[in-house]
Amino acid sequence: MADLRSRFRAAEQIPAPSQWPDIESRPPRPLPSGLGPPGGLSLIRDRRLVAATVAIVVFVAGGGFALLLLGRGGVRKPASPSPAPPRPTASATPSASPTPMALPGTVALVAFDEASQTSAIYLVTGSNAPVAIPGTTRLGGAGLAWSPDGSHLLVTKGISEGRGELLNLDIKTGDSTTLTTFGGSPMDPSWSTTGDEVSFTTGSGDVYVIHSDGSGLQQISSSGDLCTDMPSAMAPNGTTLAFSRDCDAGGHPGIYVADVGGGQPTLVLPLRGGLGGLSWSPDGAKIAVSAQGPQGWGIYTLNADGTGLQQLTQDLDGAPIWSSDGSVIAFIRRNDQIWSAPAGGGTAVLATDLTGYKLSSWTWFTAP
Amino acid sequence: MSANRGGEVGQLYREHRDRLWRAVFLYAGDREVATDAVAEAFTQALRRGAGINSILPWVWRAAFRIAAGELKERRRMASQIETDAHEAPNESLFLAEALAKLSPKQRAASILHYYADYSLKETAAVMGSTVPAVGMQLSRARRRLRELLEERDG
Repeated sequence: MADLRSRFRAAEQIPAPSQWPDIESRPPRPLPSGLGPPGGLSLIRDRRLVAATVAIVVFVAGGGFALLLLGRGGVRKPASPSPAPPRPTASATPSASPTPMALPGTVALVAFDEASQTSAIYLVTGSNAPVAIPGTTRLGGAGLAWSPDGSHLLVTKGISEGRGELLNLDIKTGDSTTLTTFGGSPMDPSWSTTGDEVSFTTGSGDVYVIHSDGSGLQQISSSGDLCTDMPSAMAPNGTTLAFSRDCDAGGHPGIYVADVGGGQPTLVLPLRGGLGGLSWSPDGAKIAVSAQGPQGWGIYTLNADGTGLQQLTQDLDGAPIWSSDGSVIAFIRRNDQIWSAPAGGGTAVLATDLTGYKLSSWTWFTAP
Repeated sequence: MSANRGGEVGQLYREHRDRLWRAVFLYAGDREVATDAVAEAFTQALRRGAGINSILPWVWRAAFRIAAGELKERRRMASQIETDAHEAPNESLFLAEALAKLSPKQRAASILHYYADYSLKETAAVMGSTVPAVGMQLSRARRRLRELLEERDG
């Protein structure tokens, strides 16, 4: 069979209209509604459009415009059999900070540097400028994760054409080994605190766990045709993991917790969607998640059993990561800023302004 | 808006409308929806002027969203594919029919990546999604398309 790009090139033969409307004289209509902002760490290039779509979503009640295209950004009807999402116990605190307060430890991020027009994995310490890890062009676009000792990064490679690999990259030497190629698209990796286990999502949208030596592959979830289980995060105890399930209408989106030893995952918190990242607290008692929660978009925390929902931020925030001491949750705001907020609630502050870089994934290491 | 920005949108309209139209047509399976979505997206860009940082990605995103909204309203995707795609050459007809069997997200990701040659990041930006999510949609779409097209090829 001809490759897919060749198949698609044949579409150039489709005759386009011979006559086009005059856009100068055409009266514009309201843009379609149901255009929520994307969840998680995503590429938001036009903030005004995002702001406009958020405004539209606010004004359109009922969610009658569930949309096809917007992925995690779409407005979804709650899954019918699921209970209504609980309301959070505390409202978010307004966040503003003119002066960056750099995170401790080291941040690793996959980003496109607009100045050099290159995409690579960058390391950021304190308030220093990002430094690219040599040889990492085209790596990590579909996720990366620190090893517990901070010496290695799990990075994705080659997802685009279905020849994906999960690599274990030594950040000092730049050497890497392939952990798995399972499913052709291993993405969004997460490392257990002990370093023995790795979770990831495959192209089928299911979560798997594998030993960090590449053995012991084990399927944890079956997402079905309607849903995608991604991302996942291993709990500190190494025997539990949490994952976000994002679904089209008819599925049951929300936060699930699964026992690595077997059994069906449990839906601990039903959510409408916009699930874009999650992280365990160091003591394994709580989970931070970026989602479209009951009071809108933002970072939420919840107990591991789904109770105690608390909204931490009210913005287009994604990819939360808990500090090793449990006091702070850092996250990506918009597309190019790292912010942090007290894990128990409080004012969010700017940590790193990465203007000029377009982030696609990030991870944060703080020594325990 | 400035005359220069208006001229820029007009120039982009003339240069890119056919390619964008084919992409939206593959997505929607409807000539009328595709034409309206493309023209409306550029019209919106013209009116917004300096409010848009990067016109072309904005227009692509808006066109797909407008088409999706229109399809939702019409609820006639399947029958329209049968009608409209017959005007396309055979190879394109097979592709359009196969695409119509994908989920909307898979279809959009496939068209943007394989037809429009957008990278995963760019596709995620247009779709308002994330790179991993787009990677997953592409993975599912590839598998399904290969099944459908191989079945068709015999």
